[in-house]
Amino acid sequence: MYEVFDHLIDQDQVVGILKEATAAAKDSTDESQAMTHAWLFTGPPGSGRSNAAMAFAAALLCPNSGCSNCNHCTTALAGTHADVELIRTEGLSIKIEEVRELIGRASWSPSVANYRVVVIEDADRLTESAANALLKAIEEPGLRTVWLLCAPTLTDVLPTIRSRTRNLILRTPSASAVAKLLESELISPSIANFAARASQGHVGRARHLASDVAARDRRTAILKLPLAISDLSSAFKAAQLLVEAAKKEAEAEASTRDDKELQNLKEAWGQQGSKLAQGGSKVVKELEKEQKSRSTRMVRDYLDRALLDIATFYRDVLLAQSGTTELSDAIINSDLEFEIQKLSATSTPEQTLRKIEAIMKTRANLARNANPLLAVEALMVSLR
Amino acid sequence: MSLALYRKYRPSTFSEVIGQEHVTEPLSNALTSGKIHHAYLFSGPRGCGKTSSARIMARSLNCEQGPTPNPCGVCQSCKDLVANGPGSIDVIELDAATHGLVDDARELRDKAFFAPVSSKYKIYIIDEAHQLGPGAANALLKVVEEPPPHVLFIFATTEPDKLISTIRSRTHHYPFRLVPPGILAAHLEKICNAEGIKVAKGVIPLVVRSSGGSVRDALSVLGQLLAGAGKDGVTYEIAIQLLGYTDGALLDEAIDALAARDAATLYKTIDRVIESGHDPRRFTQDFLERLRDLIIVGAVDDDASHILREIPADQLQRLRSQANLIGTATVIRAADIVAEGLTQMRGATAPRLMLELICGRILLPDSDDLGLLSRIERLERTGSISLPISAPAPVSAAPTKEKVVVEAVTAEPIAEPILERPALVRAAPPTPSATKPTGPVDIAALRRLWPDVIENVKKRRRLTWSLLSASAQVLAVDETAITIGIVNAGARDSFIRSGSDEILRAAFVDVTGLDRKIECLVDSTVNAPVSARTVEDPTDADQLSGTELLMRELGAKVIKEFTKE
Repeated sequence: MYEVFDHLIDQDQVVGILKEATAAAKDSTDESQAMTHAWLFTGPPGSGRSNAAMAFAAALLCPNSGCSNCNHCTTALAGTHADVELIRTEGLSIKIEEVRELIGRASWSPSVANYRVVVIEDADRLTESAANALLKAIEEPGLRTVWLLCAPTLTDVLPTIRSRTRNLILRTPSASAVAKLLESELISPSIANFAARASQGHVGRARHLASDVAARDRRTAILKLPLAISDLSSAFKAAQLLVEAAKKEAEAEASTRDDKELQNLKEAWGQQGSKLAQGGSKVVKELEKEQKSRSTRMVRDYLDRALLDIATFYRDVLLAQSGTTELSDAIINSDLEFEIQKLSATSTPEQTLRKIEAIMKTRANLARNANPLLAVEALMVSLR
Repeated sequence: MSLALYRKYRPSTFSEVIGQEHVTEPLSNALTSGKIHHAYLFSGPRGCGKTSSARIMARSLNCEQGPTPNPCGVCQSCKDLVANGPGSIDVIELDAATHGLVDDARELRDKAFFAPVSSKYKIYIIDEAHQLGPGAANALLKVVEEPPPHVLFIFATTEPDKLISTIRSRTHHYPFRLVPPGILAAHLEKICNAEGIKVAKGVIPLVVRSSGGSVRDALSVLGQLLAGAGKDGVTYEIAIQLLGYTDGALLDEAIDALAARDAATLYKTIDRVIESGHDPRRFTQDFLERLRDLIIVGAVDDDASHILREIPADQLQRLRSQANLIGTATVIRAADIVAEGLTQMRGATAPRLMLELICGRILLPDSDDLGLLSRIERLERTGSISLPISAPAPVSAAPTKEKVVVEAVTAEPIAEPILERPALVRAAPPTPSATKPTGPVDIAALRRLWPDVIENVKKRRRLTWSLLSASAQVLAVDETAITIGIVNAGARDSFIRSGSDEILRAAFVDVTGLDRKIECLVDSTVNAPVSARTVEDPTDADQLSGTELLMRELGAKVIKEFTKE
């Protein structure tokens, strides 16, 4: 029982609530409020929002309340269970067409288990009309339908959605908990410790950093970019390096996936030689559009992560400038301690703060669809 | 799975709707007197009873005894339309968000003309009406304006402004409001009793606070608390923990650190907030609320207890001392920054970073006016100010020095009062000699500042001002002196006799920071420099030959000369 929840790190309170909810859901005579039909999981990225939602789904469907071994559990966790509707997007948004279709399916009775569970992994990426379309379905779903929504914060979803759901707040996993998890995966303590701090509680990223030397090197290289800026030309160069790295990453990912997807789709539409079955070209076009949106998002995500990493560096400088020595544990980029000390001695806290502000502004601009190269160039010039 | 509280306790008559008397009473009266309109628009924030009221309206109209504000509850229609009932075939509830296309509207329009199956009215409840597409809304216009006698429309929406005005003008508009805390608290207590769960004192106000006046929000939160209830009901501690409210001690610590401008302690407090598993966002919100309390305490002092009713006396005392310690201006500034930071705390940013950033902003007062500061800083570093800006020290010191050592001045860190004169900084364009800190003083910049100098003179002595204001101009400036051209000899003589040159010199020091001897020439070509602020003095430019003008304005160099043929 409840083994599925073991994978959630440092979320005891939430797990407690979910266990009670599962117990209430299994008990047909239960009249308490422990279980309800719509949940909203919020928490910072990497805290395990979607993992929590999937685990809860598995626990609801599994006859043993989440043994994590049975067919129900494994398929639910993988997102392939017949009674789990999993909505996730790798594009920029979830569109209303998708939601309309989902609402129909969501009202069906469950086929093999006791519940039909709808998991929306990126409720913050619902377009406004899509979110509005969900309202009625979330408020009064079928008797056996449960909605599980995930979003970074409450303000990322419409207030009308928020008011219809029960909110579960996942905490940022503490660095020590993340480090312990990594150590249990046979990663050396020093690297585990570094990765846990550098990822700021983002479990997936911590794991990636800990297990991949190249990723660690890339991160350090990015952090050192602004340090190398001395004049305009080096600023432009740094910007170009960063944006190119982002594009290259996205392309590398795309080249392994896009062609294969396209090939599979074309085969499914009966491509022999050059001719597709009727309607096929439209579907192919749609896929290409989706792939484009995906690669845009990948570039953006990569840049956003890089900018955040740089921001953590300046945040460390700010911390060092505050004159505290007790917080040396809290320094995120402990590998760059020398640079941090140097910069904190040669600049004022105001300058540091202004640089962080510039980074945040650039992130906002990128999110508003600014040209990545222009935005990053502007940033690098102001980091000078 | 039991029904969520907000569905379980959905009202079925107007008398059960709370906090909306301004809507329910007129509607009840209309039902009693039979003055029914054919289209209604219910608007208001989330969870205050729009959809419920629309259903109640339908139930009241279609009751066999109806139209009546008190449906009998016995007839078939009443049974069908009771909250959580099966619904009636004649009451069609549409979700405009999923049926907001023009085809849906056309279909509705066509079907509307068929008579109701078993009830008096055929009632269309169009929920989330703000999501009606423009095509759909326009397609509905005619039927909403003049529907068949058996058809009634009720639109419900959170955003009435998004609904096209032609629909709004065809409806009776009833705006719903958020529910006041007192009424909401009483309602919640009633529900707790009905659920048979004991709730500790102080929990209900917490729920009311986090709901922001929406009944559905309140019931969602209450459901969560009831689910977490132990043997002795919902205790205050459980509620605080489940709702994630911040420990008062942590807030005190943060405020104290803020008062002491102690960055280290403040960052340490943040560290503790995170390590103890508090939600950083929640902490920020609570921090903002605490700042708001401090503003109120600072402003009204003795009567604060009347406004901050929920705060016990001992804590009020502590707030008072905190408010005195920090000062209202700082609190307001901090609140501003926190409020803005809160809006940025969304999406994929590590919340801890944002929280630390907010605190950094609060602690560093000079981080405001970012553009200005960074501009000065840039100038400072590249040393491109050709007009040397001296620290204000020479102003107070007797201006006796004949020569200002320019190097020393530019190398000095810029002192604060310079910030008050951004025009000066902007007025000094980088010259070709920008790399050398001892570049020549730019006469164009000085001329642009001339009106300011004159204004300054006016404050010192009216006589000098009247001599200069209409008939003088800066002619030249070098390392030792500023040369002034005055239009006629008489004016010049009285300028020198009256000792006005010292006045002008002091004015120059004050405005531009230049301490130079003033020399006076008679120059009949000088015009009143009225336009000096915006345009370069044209007569003066005319005086120069083309080459000189190019050299002065653009830094041109003579490479070769030709004679004109």
